[in-house]
Amino acid sequence: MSRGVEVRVENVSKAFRDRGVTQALKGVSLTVRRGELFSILGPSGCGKTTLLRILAGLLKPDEGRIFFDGVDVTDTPAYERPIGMVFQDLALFPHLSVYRNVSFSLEIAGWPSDRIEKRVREVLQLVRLPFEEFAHRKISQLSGGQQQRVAIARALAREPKLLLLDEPFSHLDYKIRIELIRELKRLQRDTGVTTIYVTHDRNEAMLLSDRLAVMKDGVVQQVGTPEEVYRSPANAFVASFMGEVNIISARAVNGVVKLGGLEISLDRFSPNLGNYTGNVLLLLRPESISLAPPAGDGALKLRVQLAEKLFLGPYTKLLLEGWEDVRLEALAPTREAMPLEPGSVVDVYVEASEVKVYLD
Amino acid sequence: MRLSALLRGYTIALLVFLYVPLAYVVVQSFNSSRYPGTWEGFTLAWYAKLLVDAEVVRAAVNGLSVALASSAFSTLLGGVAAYYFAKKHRLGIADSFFYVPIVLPEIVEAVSLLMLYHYAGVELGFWTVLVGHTAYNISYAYVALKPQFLATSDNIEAAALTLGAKPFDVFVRVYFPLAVPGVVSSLLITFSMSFDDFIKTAFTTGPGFKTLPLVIWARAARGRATQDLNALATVMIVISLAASYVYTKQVFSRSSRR
Amino acid sequence: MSRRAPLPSALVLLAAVPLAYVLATFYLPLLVMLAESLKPQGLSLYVYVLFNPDYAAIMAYSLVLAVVTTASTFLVALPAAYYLSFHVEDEKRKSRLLAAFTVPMLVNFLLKAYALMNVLSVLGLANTYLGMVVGMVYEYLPYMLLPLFSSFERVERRLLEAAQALGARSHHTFLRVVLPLSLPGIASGVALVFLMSFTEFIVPAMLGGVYGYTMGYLIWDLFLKYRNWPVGSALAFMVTLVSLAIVYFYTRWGLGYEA
Repeated sequence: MSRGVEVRVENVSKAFRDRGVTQALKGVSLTVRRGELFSILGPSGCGKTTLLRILAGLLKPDEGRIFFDGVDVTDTPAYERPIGMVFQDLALFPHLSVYRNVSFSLEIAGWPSDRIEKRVREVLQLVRLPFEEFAHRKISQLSGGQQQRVAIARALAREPKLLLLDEPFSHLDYKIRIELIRELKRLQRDTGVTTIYVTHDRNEAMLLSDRLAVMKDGVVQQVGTPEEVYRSPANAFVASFMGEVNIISARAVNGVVKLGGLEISLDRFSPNLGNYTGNVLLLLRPESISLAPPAGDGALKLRVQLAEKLFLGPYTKLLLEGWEDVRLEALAPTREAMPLEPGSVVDVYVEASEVKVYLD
Repeated sequence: MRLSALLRGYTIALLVFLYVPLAYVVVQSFNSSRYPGTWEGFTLAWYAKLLVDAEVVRAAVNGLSVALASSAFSTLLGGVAAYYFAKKHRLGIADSFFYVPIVLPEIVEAVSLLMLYHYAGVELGFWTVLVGHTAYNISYAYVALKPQFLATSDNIEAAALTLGAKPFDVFVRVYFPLAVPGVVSSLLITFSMSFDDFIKTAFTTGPGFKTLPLVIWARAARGRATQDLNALATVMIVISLAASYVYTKQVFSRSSRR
Repeated sequence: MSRRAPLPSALVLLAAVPLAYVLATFYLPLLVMLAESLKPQGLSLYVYVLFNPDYAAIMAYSLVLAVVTTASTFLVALPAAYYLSFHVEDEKRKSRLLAAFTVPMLVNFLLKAYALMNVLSVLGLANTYLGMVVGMVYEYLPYMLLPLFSSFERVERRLLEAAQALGARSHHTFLRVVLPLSLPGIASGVALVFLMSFTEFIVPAMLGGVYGYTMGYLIWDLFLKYRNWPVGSALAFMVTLVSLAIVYFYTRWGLGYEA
């Protein structure tokens, strides 16, 4: 049973008047499903935190509406929304103990003290902080990771229907971050609360999310599962934001591009571009360039020169030089890359379906 | 290291130099000799004399009432200003605005205020003194409270809101408790500044309204220290040192917790 | 528009009160003072005051006293600040010693001057120039010590180690590394003490005897004894300008210690 709300954002815009006008959000619409773990991903300044604060009720949009389960909550203040929020700097109450931080929302809601204690125990257990040891400690006595758990526990205390997180793990050590991300995912599955997670780190988003939205300059670029967005990016920005990608500009004439002596018809990559004339961008992930010929004959064979090999452990990055200053990066299993010598000429293979074409 | 031992000795000696005069006054106030000097015996007579000295008692009451009122007003007003400029509207010039009264020599502030009162046709007395003290005390309160507010994350207010606290709850349950150490510091320092004030008070007071520093000045002007004056001074020194000790301890414990 | 928790307009009104209050009771009087100094003869009064031999003598005297005080206070405070910062390892001890120096700061000048008067009379230094300077140093010591200490604390210890590794003896390190790096702190301490001692009234009046007639005392008399408000205002206004200038440069250095 999922206990989360469905969140619908309808055409939300927001501008800030600071020194001149900054349009933080431009007509953003999206839907987050009940019980989903949804990430909003983008570089700093893309509007993701603004959107989150509007969802929390801390900011009001200039235009557009917000719906929780079909109910318009745009004008509802934060303290009347069934939400829990975790902030980037945690914002734990320094003058209160762990117990009082967590019970804060319950005290305000007027719960009887025995019910409060029961719930605090429950929720501290949920975030794996032993009650006896931690309940009466001061915030300053906790480590970064422990404080994080308290912040999450505090947000979950009154069983919110929507959990909002604003880059909560960005200042933690890598190891602790991974651990907390896994725990968050587990927590979310167990409680079923709809969760919206804002981050600039694509790895976090891909690890965590059921679905995600990529934003840039206040506009949603694409929404989908991590796999969808990674493998079928809607545009060049999304493609390069989601991971390393080779970008080749080429000129198509009547649907045909020349790639290093090869004449390739665009309709091998995309059915609609058979007759296109104009500039195109071809995007190709490093791992899509393989050293071994694949089965079947959908693959393109390119002859390139290996400029450098960079050993990365299980994988090796290969810096390839193609035709006319084209430089490609390939990522191959080290086992396959080992015999190759820098400076030698190599044949590489690319599945046509892995090449994405964008009109420039 | 020899240098270290030398420096340590020097520093201790310097500290002694700082406290010896104060200690001397305190000790002498119990000395039964008429003038400070060789010890002639323990007595509380000088303190008894103070208690029946109408001028002293009245001056003490005056000074206390001005100081209490001034510290309350200035902490409130300075606190509001500090809150506003720390949280709502970061303005560098606000800092300078409140900083100048602390830096400007007291005598300049005193004479300018006197002239303002004269041209405004105001009668000098309790209120003119109070208004003058509060003027610079607001700056002290501002300086005492602003760092406190700056250190409190903006998100704390937001966090409380998302946890269901209405704006009034936020103030009572979050801001107020957090501000208490700063408020206490502010009250202490503004009280001290006001109670001990001499120059400003001398210029802005009217006939009949004296505070303790003024009394000490008038009596010490004869150029000779006396035991009853020492008793009076001791009382003031003890009050100042107590307030200062509490204040310093607060400031240092706050910065060490960082 | 964005919704903030307390009603914005009420808060703005509330915050305006202290602003208006300080404006009316501090800045406005300064304007009144300026007007007063210009009333009789306009700017020519300033010329008169600056070139009048009696006034000029007192100003010069106060200047010399300020310089002597600042230099003495600096030399007295320096070894202690150095010791506290570089030779005390234990953090707790350091802050306790610092507190011991800071606590007398809240005891007012009059009381401290009076206390010192007691001691100086016993030593036979009452009403002497030396006694007065001792009094000034006594009052201003914490104001010089704190900035010095702060800026010493900010000197990265690794730099000292590096200097030692390069062969510098301790006095070299001090002169070539520590002092230059603490210049901002030294500057603020010096500026502060100079400013305060130039206009000081209480200490010279109580401890200086005939040597105690400084700018501060002059302004006092001009207002309370001679009732020569225009000249008093002119002097006070000049002092204001000097203070503001010093503060301006002081903040330019970027170093301010927190009370």
